[in-house]
Amino acid sequence: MENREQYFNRINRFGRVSFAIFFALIFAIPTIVCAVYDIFPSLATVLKATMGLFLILTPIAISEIVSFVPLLGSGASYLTFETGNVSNIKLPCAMNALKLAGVQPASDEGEVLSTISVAVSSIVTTAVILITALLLAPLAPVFANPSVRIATANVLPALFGALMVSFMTSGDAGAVVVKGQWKAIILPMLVVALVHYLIFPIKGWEGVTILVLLPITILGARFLYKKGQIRVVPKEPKA
Amino acid sequence: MDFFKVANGSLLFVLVAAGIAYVMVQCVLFLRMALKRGRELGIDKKVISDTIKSSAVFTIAPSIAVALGLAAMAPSLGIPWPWFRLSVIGSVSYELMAANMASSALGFAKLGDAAAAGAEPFGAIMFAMTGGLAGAIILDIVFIKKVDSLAVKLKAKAGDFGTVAVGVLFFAVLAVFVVPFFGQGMVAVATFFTSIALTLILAVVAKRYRQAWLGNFILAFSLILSMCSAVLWTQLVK
Repeated sequence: MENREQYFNRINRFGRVSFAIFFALIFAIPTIVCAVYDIFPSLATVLKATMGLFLILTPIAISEIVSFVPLLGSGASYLTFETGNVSNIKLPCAMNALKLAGVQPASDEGEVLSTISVAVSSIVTTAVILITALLLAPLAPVFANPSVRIATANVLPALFGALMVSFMTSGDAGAVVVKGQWKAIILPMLVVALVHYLIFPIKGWEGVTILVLLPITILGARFLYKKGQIRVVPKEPKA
Repeated sequence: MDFFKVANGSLLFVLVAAGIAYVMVQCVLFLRMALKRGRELGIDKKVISDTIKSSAVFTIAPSIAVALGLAAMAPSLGIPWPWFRLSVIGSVSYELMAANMASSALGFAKLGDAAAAGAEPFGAIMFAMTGGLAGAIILDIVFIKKVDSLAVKLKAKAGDFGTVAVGVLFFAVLAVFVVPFFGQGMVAVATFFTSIALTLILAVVAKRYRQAWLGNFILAFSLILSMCSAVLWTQLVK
């Protein structure tokens, strides 16, 4: 059996190499298309069109790496960032899987289960999008249906309501239980409310806000832990 | 040459299908590695199978929202490119914005105007949407291992508080996404609280009637039902 470090090194080696190949592949697609149809844009045009996106997406990537990698672990992180739809599908999916299993992030079991969860989730999302792409014409009336539009436009409130309950009601962390963990969400919520409603709307700045909020959340939890408001106790055996 | 002759051309379909197939193979290989590691660690088979089932069912509803993004992007960018971007690397929340930003940098007022200008802008848009992510991908390749390693070390060093710290990290994500709902109108707020209520009710039902299987699907069921409730709330708010 591999020890933790061996597995960690192996999954990271595989992740890095396969992600690097993917990086080449995503540039190969526009390159081949432009070469075959002889529609290569000038370098100046590409740089002009790319720069704005690059400047927006790169800081978002920094905040996602710092914020989400400790939660997802290495294997799931490569897959999550490669397959996209991070905060609306992959991260909640993996967090839910860990919660259901009573396993913590940044643990051996957490690494395994979040990788399984994100891999399965990626395959399902790809299948749903493939079906949609194949059936785009016959499905057009369904997508144009106002009820479907309303339902899908509200996916985030529906998702985060359910996640909020499961994360605030359970402090299950493997062999131990974290009591009073829910109290640690009050401070970040107050900070976000203050900034979002009184200073500037955080829409489009979610990644940066999470990055700023992480130390605030941990320091707040540390204070509550020191005051005995949050406790770590051994799990009681089930009757 | 016509924009859509390229954007909906068979060449792009084939390339995109190959790209997505590559990522699917990667998913299967990661899955195999994790399953093997799970067996080595002695993780209960039921825990693994519950993880697979709950993740698959949970993913369906939000994937439909992504599929709707494909339907929204296809009239401007054809089918294969949005199919690729939404299946891998992209996110439904910013793909359309990315395409619009790229076309605007090319001097077009709207994405639709780029389509009217022939096939050349399509090449530039594809390169821009790909190049915009180059920095992100390089950072992922370089830093995922370092950050994960650091997180595990810090958690171990902090003892019991490490357990607390890791447990509350996700609260930062929740706070950032939840608080703005209260400024998005009654429907978003009502949907949010419906989701909370449904999750609590389903949890009580699963516990009281000892329906362990239901526990794995609470999030998925609450998500789908509360998305449907948004339709009802919209009617009531009118």
